[in-house]
Amino acid sequence: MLVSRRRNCLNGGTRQEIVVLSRKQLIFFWGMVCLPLVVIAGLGWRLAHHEHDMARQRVQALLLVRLQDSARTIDEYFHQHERRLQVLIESVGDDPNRIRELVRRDPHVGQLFVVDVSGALLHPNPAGALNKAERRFLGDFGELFLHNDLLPLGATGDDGAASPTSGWAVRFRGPGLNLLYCGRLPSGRLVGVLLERSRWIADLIAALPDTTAAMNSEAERARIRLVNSNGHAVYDWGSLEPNEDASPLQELAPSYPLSSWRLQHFVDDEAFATLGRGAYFNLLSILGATGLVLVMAGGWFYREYGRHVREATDRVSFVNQVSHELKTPLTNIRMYAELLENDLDEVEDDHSQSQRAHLKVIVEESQRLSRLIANVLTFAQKRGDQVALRLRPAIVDEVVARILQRFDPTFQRRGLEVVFQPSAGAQVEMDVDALEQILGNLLSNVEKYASAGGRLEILTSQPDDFTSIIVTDDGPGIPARHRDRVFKPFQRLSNHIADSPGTGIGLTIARQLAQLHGGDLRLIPSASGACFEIRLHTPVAESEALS
Amino acid sequence: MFKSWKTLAVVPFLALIGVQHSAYGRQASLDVSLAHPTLLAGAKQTTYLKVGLTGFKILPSETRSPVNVAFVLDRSGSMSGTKLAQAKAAAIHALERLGSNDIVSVVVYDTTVQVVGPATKLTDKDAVRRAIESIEAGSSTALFAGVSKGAAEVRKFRDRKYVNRVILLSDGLANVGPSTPSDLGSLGASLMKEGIAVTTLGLGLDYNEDLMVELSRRSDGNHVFVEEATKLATVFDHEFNDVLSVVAQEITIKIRCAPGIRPVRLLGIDGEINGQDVVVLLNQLYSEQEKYVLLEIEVPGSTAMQTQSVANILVTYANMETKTTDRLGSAISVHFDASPQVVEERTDAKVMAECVLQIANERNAEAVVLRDQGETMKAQALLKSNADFLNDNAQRFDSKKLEQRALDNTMQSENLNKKDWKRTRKGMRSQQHEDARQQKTQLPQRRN
Repeated sequence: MLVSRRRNCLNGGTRQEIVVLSRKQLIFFWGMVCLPLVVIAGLGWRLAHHEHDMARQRVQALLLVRLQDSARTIDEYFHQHERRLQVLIESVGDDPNRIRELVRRDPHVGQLFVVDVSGALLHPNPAGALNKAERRFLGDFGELFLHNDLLPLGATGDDGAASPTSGWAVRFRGPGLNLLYCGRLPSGRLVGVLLERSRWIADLIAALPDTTAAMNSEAERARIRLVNSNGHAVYDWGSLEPNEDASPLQELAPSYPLSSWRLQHFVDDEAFATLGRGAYFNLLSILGATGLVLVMAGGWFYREYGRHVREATDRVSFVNQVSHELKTPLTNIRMYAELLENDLDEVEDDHSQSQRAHLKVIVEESQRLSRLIANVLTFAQKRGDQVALRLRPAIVDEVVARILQRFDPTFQRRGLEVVFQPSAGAQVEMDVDALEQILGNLLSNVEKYASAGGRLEILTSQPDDFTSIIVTDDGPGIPARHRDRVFKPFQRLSNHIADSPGTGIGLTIARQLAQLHGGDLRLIPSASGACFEIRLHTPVAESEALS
Repeated sequence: MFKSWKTLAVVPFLALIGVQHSAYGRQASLDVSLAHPTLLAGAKQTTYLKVGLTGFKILPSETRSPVNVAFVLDRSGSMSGTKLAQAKAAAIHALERLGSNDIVSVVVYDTTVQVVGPATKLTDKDAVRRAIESIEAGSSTALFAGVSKGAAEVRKFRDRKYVNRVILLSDGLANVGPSTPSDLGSLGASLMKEGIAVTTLGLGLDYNEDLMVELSRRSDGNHVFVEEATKLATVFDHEFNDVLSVVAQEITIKIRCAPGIRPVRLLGIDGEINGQDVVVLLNQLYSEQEKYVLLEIEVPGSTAMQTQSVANILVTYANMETKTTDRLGSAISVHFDASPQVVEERTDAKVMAECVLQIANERNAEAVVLRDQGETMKAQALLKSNADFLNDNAQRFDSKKLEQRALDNTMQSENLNKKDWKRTRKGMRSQQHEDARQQKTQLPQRRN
């Protein structure tokens, strides 16, 4: 029972091993295909991303130049205004009628004001007769004069440095940003102009390009927007209609006094998205091509490999079938040769002596052939997981003796001295055929390699539930470096065909059978010759145990 | 310019004296009068001073002044279809009335502005026509930018010899850039200083009439409420009747009140009151049109048979025919009489009718404010009482105009409900503008 369970267990293990192996191969194959792809993809993506960033930066630099153009237009407008306003300021005298006339005629002027040295407002004079516009101005900007906000202009600071005598002042009132230009005259008076807000905005709009002009000068669809301090669009140009939530690709603030406003450049999201996408496209095509080649190559190799495996399997099964077909006639030959041998035993003459010798050769050779075929079949069955033990009660020493007897003629011919020390006489559960095969393989090696006139020692023992059979010869032995190889299939220590015949699977099968039998076949290091230990799990047969 | 005040001071106090500086050609005529040339002796009282200026007549056969006009057309999404087609057809039709001495530019706007036809002498009419025909509807409404660009085109050739004008056509609310009536009003005021008037044509029922009216009012341009796009051709015709009949531009009316006389306020047209000095600017005067300024004044009490000097008046304008700056001067005084009957008899019915028109107009504007605040009943009551006021005075001063306005006020009072308000409001706002600025072009309103 124990053996059979173990056997099942072993079979299961073996089957799993084969499955895992093929999955490993699959993984390996696909790894070979995918790994380069992943590496190329990773590198390529980084490269393409970098390319995209570079393209974005290049575009941004270009947009900045355009915004700088527009900002220059704005700056120039205020610069020209400065000169004009400076002249205006200097021409403002005392006469309120004249000041009013200036306000009435100058389209850029919202209001004019004059402050004396002490900071008192001379015009519009809060104590005098004010018109509606002047009253509104004082309502909106009166506090400028209460707090003397504009006094520093032209004043000499503590460090002795004179601040500029004229300049812009920016105040947020009413609808937004208001611009005032103020200057201190040599007389010490401060004269200021509140610019008509709508007018300077309209002038900026007039100075900046319109969409027709923008379309003529710029090939691609774009939108430039002038945005006020609150982030509201003041003026747009360019044929692109950006989404409401679109964010500008480039932004620039004009110089003071309009530095709280922004120029924003929008570009077509779709057009921009394709920018630098060429790199992504190249990457994609390279990946695709490489992937295709790899997959094709992988597929081809996989198919070739599969074909080889199939061919090998076919070959094995062919050999298997042939061996199987050979087995029956060979058994017949052996049987009839042995019968003939028995018949000849009864005839005693010189002639029969020679016939018997010939017959012996036939029997020996057919036995050898039987072993070979058995090995081939076992090997094939082992591959196909079909090996099963047939346990039955038997005595190990008897089996050993029988085999020795079978080899006897050969050993005699080679002058081998056989020493058998039996001490495994108990009846145990075992597969006799398996033991015969193991022992046969070992002895046939001895027959092949052991030197003539040598000595063969066989010791059996039965510790606990195990049987140990030690086979020692005094042949050339196996060099230490080859000890690992001897149990591997198709390994022969010499490749010279003339050296010694054989298939190279004897020891492999012997060991596999021993392992299947719950034991092992080991090569025991020895001073000279080869020494093998067969170890089998052989529980005492039930009938024996009972008695 | 102020030196002339001194000259005037030595002129005897005679009414209707013209100081003629240009030796040749015709001049606008100045009419200075008081609502009550004779006041009741005794207490301090209020009356109205009228300064009227009437353009001389020019005949169609005469060489008219060249015009420098910018068509600023709204091509926002709402204009698409019939409206835009009609607008284009009307503009092209208007081109026919212009000649190779005129300057035309075409500006269209939606979210952005396109100067499709930059300012140029109209030697190649077909090019401008093609530019107008190529206009297609777009999206939003950058009205401020459109007017800015239009004005910039006019400014390229701005000259006193031209009638400088921007004609804005829009059917929607401004929603890109500065968009409040005050933003547009300030722009209009600034353009007026340059002699550029902005005529605003409000198409349909969805435009912002406050914004359009303010732009026209501050630039002394026309405003017309065009409910049906089919009327556009007629409206353009009327507009060009005006544009082509300008006889005076850059008109300045200065009234210096005599000591003791207090200027209270101006009726209708805006102006500056600086102490005793009143200044009113007008952009243009059309052929045969009378434009007048009504100033409410407070006259101190006096004894009977006395004569009190009221004001000196100085008018300057650019004469489009003679290309000179003309000056007209005048002075006016008031008599006092003990008899109320005499005072009544001597009352100037025409001036009184004009005063009534302006006062009723102010009340009409108040009714709009009330209705805007949701006080529909109060607005209705005000309009009805206004109609009564107009009717009474129409009989008293024998004025067809007042009679018409009485009817209008009654009609308006009946159309304050939600359904009609949009239309009524546009009608009221445009009529207020017409009356306040004595607009020549008046499109008959559709009566419900």
